Formats: sequence, C-alpha cells, structure tokens
Amino acid sequence: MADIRALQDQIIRDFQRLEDPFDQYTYLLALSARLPVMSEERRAALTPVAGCQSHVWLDVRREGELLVFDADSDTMLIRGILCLLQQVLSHQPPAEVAEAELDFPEKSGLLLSLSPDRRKGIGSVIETLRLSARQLGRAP
Amino acid sequence: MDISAVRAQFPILSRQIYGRPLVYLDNAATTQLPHPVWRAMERYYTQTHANVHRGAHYLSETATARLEEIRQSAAAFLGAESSDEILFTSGATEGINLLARAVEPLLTPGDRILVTAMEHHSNFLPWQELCRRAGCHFHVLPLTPAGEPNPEALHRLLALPGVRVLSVTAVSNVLGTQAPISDLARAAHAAGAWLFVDGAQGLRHGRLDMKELGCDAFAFSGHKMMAPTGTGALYVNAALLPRLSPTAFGGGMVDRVSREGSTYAGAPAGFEAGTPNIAGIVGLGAAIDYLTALDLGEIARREASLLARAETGLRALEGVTVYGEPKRRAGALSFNLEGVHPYDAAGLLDRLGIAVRSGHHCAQPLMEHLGVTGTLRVSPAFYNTEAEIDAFLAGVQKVREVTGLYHG
Ligand SMILES: Cc1ncc(COP(=O)(O)O)c(C=O)c1O
Repeated sequence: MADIRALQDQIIRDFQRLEDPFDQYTYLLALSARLPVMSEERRAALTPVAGCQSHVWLDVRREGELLVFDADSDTMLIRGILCLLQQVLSHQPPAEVAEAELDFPEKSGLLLSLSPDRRKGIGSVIETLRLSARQLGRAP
Repeated sequence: MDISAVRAQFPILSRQIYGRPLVYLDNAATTQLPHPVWRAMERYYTQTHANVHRGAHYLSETATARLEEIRQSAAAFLGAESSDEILFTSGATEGINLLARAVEPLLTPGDRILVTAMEHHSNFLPWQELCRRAGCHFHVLPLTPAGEPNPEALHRLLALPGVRVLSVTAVSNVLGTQAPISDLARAAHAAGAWLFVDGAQGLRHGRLDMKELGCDAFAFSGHKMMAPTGTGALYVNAALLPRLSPTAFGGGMVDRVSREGSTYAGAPAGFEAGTPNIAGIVGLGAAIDYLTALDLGEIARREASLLARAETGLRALEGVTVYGEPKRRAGALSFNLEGVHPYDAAGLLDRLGIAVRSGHHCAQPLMEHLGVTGTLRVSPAFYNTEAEIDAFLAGVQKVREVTGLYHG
C-alpha cells in the first residue's frame, strides 16, 4: 500500500494535468461512477455524517491491522471526492489515518465550486474518519 | 437600450471565471454595480465624508443634505407621498424585522398574522417570532399548483376574526411569481388588516407606486437594484407611521433624554438610531438615478424577455422540470434536472463560468410545498444578453450529458 503522502501527491498531479476546470469536475463524476452505491438497508443502519447538507454515509471498520471504509452520498461530486478519500485513506493503518495531513482537497482545487456547506461537509467527513481511526487504533 | 454601452458600465461582467467568460445569472441573490454607483461613493468618501445630522460644519451639512435628497428620490422612486415615509435600513431583512417589532405593541393575543408559502425566510421568521412573543396565530397561505397564493384559501383565512397583518413577497425569489399586490391590499383592508410587502425582488419589474398598490409598508434591499450591500429602505405609509413604536434606541433618534425618562423623534429619525451607512446610501441614490435614467419600463421588458427565453429553452430540453407556471413571472425561475442533484448541476455550471444559485434559497416552506430539498435558480438582469441565456442553456444541456454518462 502506497503511503498517504504519495497517494495525495498523485491526485494533485492528476488534477493539475486536467487543465480544464470543467474536465476536473467530469473526472469527479467518473470517480463517482466507480464508488459502489450502498443499499437503502445499509444506509439506514449507518449514522449519516453530521454537518453535511448533502447526505453522506460512512461505514468505517478495522480489517486486521488496517482501517477500511465504504462511503456514499446523494450527490455525484461528493461521491467523487469520497472515492478519492477512499483511495488515500482506506486500507491504511489507523494511526496514520489519525495523523495524516490531508491537503489534496485544497491543493487539487476541487473544492472551489462547492458551496460552503458542502465544503464544511467534506471537513466533517475527514473529522469523522480521524475520530474513527483513533478509536480503532485504541481497540485491541 | 444599447446593451454594449450598458455592459461597459459593469466591468465585472467582462471577467473570466475558470478561463471562460463569466455568465452571471444570479441577480436574484445580488446585482452588480455600475460605474456611476461606485464613483458616487468614491466622490462621497474623497470629498464630503462627515457624520450626518450632527455637526453644523460645512461637510456635515453637505452630507446631511445629500442624505435627505436621496430620501426624496427614494420616495419618488417608490411613489410615496412624502419622504418621511422612507426609513433607511440595511436591507429588506432589517426592514421587515423593524416593522414586526414596531407593530408589536398594536397587537393583542389571539390576533392573526398571514404570510404565504412562498416567502423568503426574511418575511417568514420575523412574523412567526412576533406571533410567538405576542401570542398571535401564525397562518401560512397555501399556493396553487401554478405557484400563486391560493385565492380561495386567502378568502377563507381573511374571514377569520382578528387578522391584522398580511405580509407577502412582491415577487417570489424562487418561482418568480409576481403577487397581485393591489388585489391583496384591497382584500386585506376589507378584512381590517394591513398589507405589508417584501419588496426585495420587486424592484426591477416596472415602475412602483405605493399609493396605487395600496400597501401599508414595503421593504427592499439596495443590493438587488445595483446599489451596494448593507443599504435599503422601509416604506411605511403616513397613516400607519405615527402609530409605530421605535425599535432601536440610541443616538440620532431622540427628542429629549433624561434620567427620569426620554422621548423620541418621529419618523424617519426615530427609526434610524445610530450613524447610518452614509456612503452606501449615496450609492443607493446613484443606483436610483441610474435605473431611472435607463428607463424602468425598458428594464422590465428586457428582463422579462430574457427570462422567457430561458424558460422556453429549458422547457424544450428533455428531463428538465420548471417549477410553477404563474400568470406573471419576473426575475427568477427555478428548475431541476432529472436524476441530478441541484448542487452537482450548479457546481458543474460554475466550472463553465455560469453563475446560478442552487439550494433551498432561504425558502424552506416553499421547498416543502414543491416536494424538493433544493432547486437550481436562474435570474437574469437587464445587462445580460440573449447570447448569455443561450450559453446557459447549452451549459445545462452539457451538464445533462456528462451526468448522464456516469449515472450509476
Ligand atoms: C424575497 C426576498 N426577501 C428578502 C430577502 C432578504 O434580503 P436581504 O438579505 O438583502 O435583507 C431576499 C434576498 O435574497 C429575498 O429574495
């Protein structure tokens, strides 16, 4: 598993290479299509992430030594960003997720056309992941 | 109207956004400022800045005279009887809150206040809160499927005892519905109620005449009519004005102050505590002059034709829902794309340089009525062009294509 820094740098480079800001967003749509959709039952069993205007569902768990998560949202652009977060943070040691400095959403410029409440929502998703990482790191 | 000359007065309109020409279609949120407006403010700050109604020195007197001149031109702009009926505020929200506080002592528990289901939160919450404080009943008038205040429901509600206030938006900021203000005023008055108007969206759709409309109060924001943010006025007609109580206390609104008790000035001073936004009001005055010179009728015709072009174009696209079909639509139009979250559509349009609004537009009761959590809203102003409307329509089509491509 590549480390979190290297994965983020790759994403930032990918977005810079897509020079056209509209293409950056259609790329997010393409990423969204790769993220499996959760069933209604599974969504209902999860607590939606607080502070999100769009609905975001996170299912975080520990598999062996690693933190693993699935994510879903009712909007495609957010699903695209969740897909990127999954690439970077899922299947990583909980301690590293808890400590990671996540700058790719900012540096790739992909937050720019999101409304402030959705930007805050992404912040809440990251906070929730960090919190879960700390809890899972402590668990035996 | 020479549209390229008009656009030259608004430098922001020739900006590039994400490497594409800006197509600014969010004028219901706020409008851009033309040269003469910010030049007037610059002139004020570099030549005349001083506090008003205070000193007897030259600058203060010049500034005071200018402020009072603008009060006169605002009165003329709204067709008010006298400039005393114009109270300067920071905008529609402050105006409506002021009004709700100012009539509070005139209400008794059990009285009724009516608003419609298409109100902006700024003309909903002040009345809901007033009802809570004063023990009054709060009623929300339902809409017809076309998106107009339901006339039968209005008739029924106005027949209830103790209706004191009917407060209605002149134009819905979501549907663009133009409310029949003079009919509503007649109906309210026949029932012994006042008609108050949220005029935030009601300014660029033809000449207004408070006497003809028959409304008892009308609140508006400067920033929706080419003036700076933080400006606006509340018109209150001369019959109601002396019955209102002041709502904010401090400098500039007093008659006499002593330890035993104080008395307050009448309108307008008694409702304008503290140093006003003088430079902003100077900008508002310049905006009134600008719009008047451009011709309000011409502005209204042009905006109506741009909005109709957008509506026709949207209705011709597949998978687009346009909300409401009011008899008279002005300023704004709401729609959704089938299967596409409005936030996604707005985000994608933004990346094409097209500025529209998405979300609940501070009108959650209306969203509930429409059965949606949000919409996209397009709101042209006279400085937009047919080509921009077509670019917007092409953008919507493109959003449909790319979202369709990746749909789960
Ligand atoms: C219908 C309506 N009422 C009130 C307001 C509030 O105006 P302001 O925020 O300028 O006070 C708005 C602004 O969006 C509006 O559209």
